[in-house]
Amino acid sequence: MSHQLRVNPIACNGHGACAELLPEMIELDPWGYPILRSAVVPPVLVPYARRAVATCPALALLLERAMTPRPDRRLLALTSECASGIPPGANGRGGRGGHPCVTGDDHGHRELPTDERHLGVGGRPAVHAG
Amino acid sequence: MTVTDSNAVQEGGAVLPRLLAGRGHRLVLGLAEHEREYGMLWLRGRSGQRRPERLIDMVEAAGLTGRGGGGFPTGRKMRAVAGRGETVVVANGAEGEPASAKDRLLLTYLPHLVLDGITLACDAVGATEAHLCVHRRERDLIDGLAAAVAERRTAGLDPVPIQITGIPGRYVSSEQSSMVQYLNGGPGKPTFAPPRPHESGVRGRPTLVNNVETLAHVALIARHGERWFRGAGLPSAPGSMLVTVDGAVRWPGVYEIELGTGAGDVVMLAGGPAEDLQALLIGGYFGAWLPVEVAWPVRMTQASMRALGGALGAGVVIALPGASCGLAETARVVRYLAEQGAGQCGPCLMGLPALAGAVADLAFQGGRGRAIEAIAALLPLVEGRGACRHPDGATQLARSAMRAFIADARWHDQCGPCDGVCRAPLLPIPEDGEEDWSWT
Repeated sequence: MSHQLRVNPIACNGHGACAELLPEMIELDPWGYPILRSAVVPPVLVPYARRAVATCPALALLLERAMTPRPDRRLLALTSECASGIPPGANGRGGRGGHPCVTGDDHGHRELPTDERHLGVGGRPAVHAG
Repeated sequence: MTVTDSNAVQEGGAVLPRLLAGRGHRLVLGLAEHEREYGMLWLRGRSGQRRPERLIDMVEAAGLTGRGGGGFPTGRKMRAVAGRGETVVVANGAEGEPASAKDRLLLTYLPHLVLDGITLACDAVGATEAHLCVHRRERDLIDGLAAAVAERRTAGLDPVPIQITGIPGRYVSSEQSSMVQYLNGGPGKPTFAPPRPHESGVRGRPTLVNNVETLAHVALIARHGERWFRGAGLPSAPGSMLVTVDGAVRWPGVYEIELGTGAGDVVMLAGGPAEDLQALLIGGYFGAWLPVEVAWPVRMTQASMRALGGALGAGVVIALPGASCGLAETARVVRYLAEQGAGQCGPCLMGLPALAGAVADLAFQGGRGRAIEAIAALLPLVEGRGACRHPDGATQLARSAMRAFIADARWHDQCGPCDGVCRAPLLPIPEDGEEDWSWT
């Protein structure tokens, strides 16, 4: 079970709060809109991702649970040092995992089609299996 | 765009045309002529038994894929919607692609084939509502379709009444989520997915959205069966498709080809090159430029086009003469696509005009040694970052142009625009639709 970040590009207004709060995963393009380095959130970053999601003024950042864990190795190597000393779930929320999304809303999708290219952000198709 | 007749082509044993078989002596094929040409439509099977899902099996076995550009297997799409209560069928006849004329040809001259397909799809997926969407500024087309629907109502052919809806004429409004949003009372802009239309579409019901050519193929598969359908094309890409051939060919128009026909053969079918060619644009404005020596043997299938970094799209083939400037043509199209966005997603709203500016700079002003890098830096910033595929299509076109015309691009960048930019534009760019701009 892993978590995936997604940006709703229609809702996003380029406030940039997510990139401030989650610089490990999100950078901004020249116009201030977020680019995700990877859709999959490493477990150590999940609490921070939750905070970024909760802070977005446009509610455009979504954290969703994916069925197969697929951590990005490069990102794990990158984040293991900056997250040192902070265990996952240090804020008391990271270990919980009963909801498909941090808001508890499944955004209307019951099953994701595995055969349609599901657009991620930053040119990388997010991989959903299940 | 001219709409001309297709010639009968015989290749690989299959008799073509199939869809365009009724495109003969008379202009518009009436219901009686339609039934004489293509045969009666049997919703219940000849022996009277009723098993609507049988059509989905047939379409799946036939290997029919969407002909509107996506190329998604139609049978799988139908199965995702079938049996989920009250469903909706939407036929997409709003040809967003300015260079394509095939949907308009089908709807204008062979409307009953498309309407048969809608009725069959409704029957197979258990739909209680059917919509046929066309551009609202094409009033003649809407009138003709209304007449055809009235003729069928008198004959009692469609158990589910087919509603004809005119949608806004913008490029992105013919995207499937935009159409569903418009039918739900919205402005007709793409929506964030999921939910996709097959999960929650018109009125929140599972909705099957298909291109009108796809539905016309369904009408023929229901009549002749999946083996007949597979008699044309390749085993991996069966069937026939309509292509619109334009540009520097002798007889531009709509033709029916088998899937897997070489792109060069398509050009020859349209009378061959009218002058020296330098490149082909395959797939239309969401497709790719290919140098003519690369494009000539390429098979017209989704897979082979994807392998070359393009897309089959709606089956558009445009021949670019050697004296034209491919960069100038691309610049005009990218500018048009940038203007045609819905203005919803930041990367598309900001990125596409920037890309259009950079390409136009290179094409018309000369890049002063900087434009090629500027374009290369902009492409990944735009690609894949919208709610729909609109920005991806524009970047694919720009990227393919930078690949196919790289020698021209270097010349423009160093020495200024070439002589070709003075030639009359080849690719059709529609005028702004009057009322279609006031939607925000």
